[in-house]
Amino acid sequence: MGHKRDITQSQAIAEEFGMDVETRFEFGDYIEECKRQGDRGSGKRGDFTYAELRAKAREFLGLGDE
Amino acid sequence: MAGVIDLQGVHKPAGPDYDSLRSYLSQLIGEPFLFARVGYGDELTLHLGTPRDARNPKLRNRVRGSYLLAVRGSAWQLKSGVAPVIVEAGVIDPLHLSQLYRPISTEELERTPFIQPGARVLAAEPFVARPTGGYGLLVAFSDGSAVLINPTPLEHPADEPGAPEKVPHISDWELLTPHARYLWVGPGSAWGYEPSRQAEPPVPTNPPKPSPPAAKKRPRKGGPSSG
Repeated sequence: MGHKRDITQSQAIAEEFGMDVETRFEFGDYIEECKRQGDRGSGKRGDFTYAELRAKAREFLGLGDE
Repeated sequence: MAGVIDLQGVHKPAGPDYDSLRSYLSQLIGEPFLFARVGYGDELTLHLGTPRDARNPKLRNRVRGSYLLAVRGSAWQLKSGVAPVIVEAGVIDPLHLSQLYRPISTEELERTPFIQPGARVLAAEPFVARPTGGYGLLVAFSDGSAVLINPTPLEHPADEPGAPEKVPHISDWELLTPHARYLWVGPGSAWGYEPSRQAEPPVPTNPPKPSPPAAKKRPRKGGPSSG
């Protein structure tokens, strides 16, 4: 079963950055792909914190650093 | 009486409406299964239909299905038509099945074709799930496989610095379609069928007519919207 905390956080990030639904699905794929390639977050199971997810969203959308 | 369901239409949430939900789900019937993928947060997604490339260039070479069924945080159960096994997450309490239950890794779940690739959807039936009262989903495939999605109560995530105070809407499950629409279901009995892409400028269906030669007239203040 999916972890609702992680799903909720990625949904909140998607809304914050104004992603449409298709982009939100791709963002989920992107952060999972990052984890599998060893770019893991500092949370349990290598999950990303909210701040780390925000940085990932900027990276994914090509927005550069804040 | 014959009728047509417009798969590019929009259905705004308006309370329980089993028959309309079932009608929208019928677009899955006949679609071939492609593969299963586990996304961020261990969310299971089933990819069906025609393989498509991702839109974002950072996901180049990452194919997805034209239909994508995402279980979000719901419990699910997959009865394989290929092997005599049931794969599940959250439906059965493993503490009561310690002799039968073997944990499965994400890699094994994605690598093992528990549903035969190419098997077609024979039925996609919503049902009222207990204890949430929301809609679950049963999908049956031509190879004998079946997938059950059973909504679970919403948990509020632990507070974390920087996280927004408002908890976003998390559906019990979603279906992304190739018609620029997605079906979201739950929590509870609410559901909708809405645009999955940001609105693009409308494309004129007829070429614009050439403008007549400008007639000499007195200028008006405020432009065309000033009335």
